[in-house]
Amino acid sequence: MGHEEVSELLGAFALDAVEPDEAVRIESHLEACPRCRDELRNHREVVGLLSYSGAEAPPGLWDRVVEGVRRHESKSSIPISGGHPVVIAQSDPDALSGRVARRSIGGGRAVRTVSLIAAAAVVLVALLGVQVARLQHRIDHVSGQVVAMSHQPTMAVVEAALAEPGTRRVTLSSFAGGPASLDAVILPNGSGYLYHSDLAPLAPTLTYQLWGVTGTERVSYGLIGSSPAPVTAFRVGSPVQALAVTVEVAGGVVTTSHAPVAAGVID
Amino acid sequence: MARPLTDASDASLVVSIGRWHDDALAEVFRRHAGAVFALARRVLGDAGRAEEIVQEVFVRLWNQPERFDPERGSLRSFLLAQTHGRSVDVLRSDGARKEREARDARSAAEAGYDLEHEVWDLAVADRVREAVLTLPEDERRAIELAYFGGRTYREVAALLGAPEGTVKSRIRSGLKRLRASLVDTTVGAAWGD
Repeated sequence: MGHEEVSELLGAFALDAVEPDEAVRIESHLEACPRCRDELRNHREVVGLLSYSGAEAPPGLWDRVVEGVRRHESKSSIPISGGHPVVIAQSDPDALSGRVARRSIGGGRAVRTVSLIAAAAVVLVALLGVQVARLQHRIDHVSGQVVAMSHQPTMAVVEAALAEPGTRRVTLSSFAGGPASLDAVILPNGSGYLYHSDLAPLAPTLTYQLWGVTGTERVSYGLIGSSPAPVTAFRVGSPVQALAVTVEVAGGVVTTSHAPVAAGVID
Repeated sequence: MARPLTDASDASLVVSIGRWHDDALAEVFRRHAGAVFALARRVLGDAGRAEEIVQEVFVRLWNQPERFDPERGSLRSFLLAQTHGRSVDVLRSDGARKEREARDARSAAEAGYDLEHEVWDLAVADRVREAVLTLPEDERRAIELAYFGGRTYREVAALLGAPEGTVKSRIRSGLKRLRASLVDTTVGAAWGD
């Protein structure tokens, strides 16, 4: 299945509305196509919002999850080296008990499940230990890279940031018509980078300015210049819902009355 | 002093789940189980079956946290995608659809629902509802039948009497339109539009 054929199906795929054989071929294409992965990510974020009701889960459901973990454990046998199940670490049964009690879900039944769940946690540690260690190594590696390179942002910094768990990506697209788009990435520590800009060069008397949007508040994240660099660093100080770029006089402004030329909502 | 779990990012909670911190699973449940349950119930039309799906999704997260790839999207969209996939499997594999349709028919007179009524309560949901209302009817209907009805685009095409290619395009363009509309309403609010 070619790129065009897959991309036409991405919306339906995000809704689980394709045939099984099509799903297999789309998955295969996604492995090699970052553009399609990005589009699918956007579709899934949107459909995720559609089903959000704001309501909480029904009482008792947490108990069922706890029971499900216990049941799974009772069927599991984890071979390590010699093929024997090995207990790696001891879990604290009181911790789970306290948490379940705080949730007030299940009452006495929850307390009776505690020791079994603790046992589940003890044994299952073995299964994911290696994977978690590998993940942690990757996190440490990426974090180190980002810190080391933050003074001269390049695409390598962006790529490292994109690989870090918890990173949010934003595509800023034309807000008022006309060609204008760029991407941004925001790390969990608040560092952010703009990249892939196709903002047209401005006269030297003008500059692009980046804004963070939260509710009705706009906060300047700094100037991008009249001809944006391949990668521009910025910093986010507090929770932000969207990014926007305006055109301002060189030197920038404290508050803007100009409509953004590009904007994007943060996932 | 350790940061409370309530302040932790979703991604760091998943890392903690990988280290068998069961309180991290509880925090993920607190944040997302409501949305997960709402979706499963909406697709299956049955609270009991929906609870089974929620249980399955969270047990799987506990056992296989590495399946969550933050580069592919947020934790909520991951959990919802898992939930939707399983719900649709159930719907397509047994008589759940017929049961649901029978229930829907009984309750339609007193409690009809559509896309708009699925999103409410929070400010972000208000914006989503606003965005949904901007969709052309044919795009909205195609998305609704596929996503909440658990039907393939081919089934949707047959139901609507439209070419399959047209339905594919409607779904894709509708989702893109929704996203663009969300940008407009979110950013526009800050500019007083």
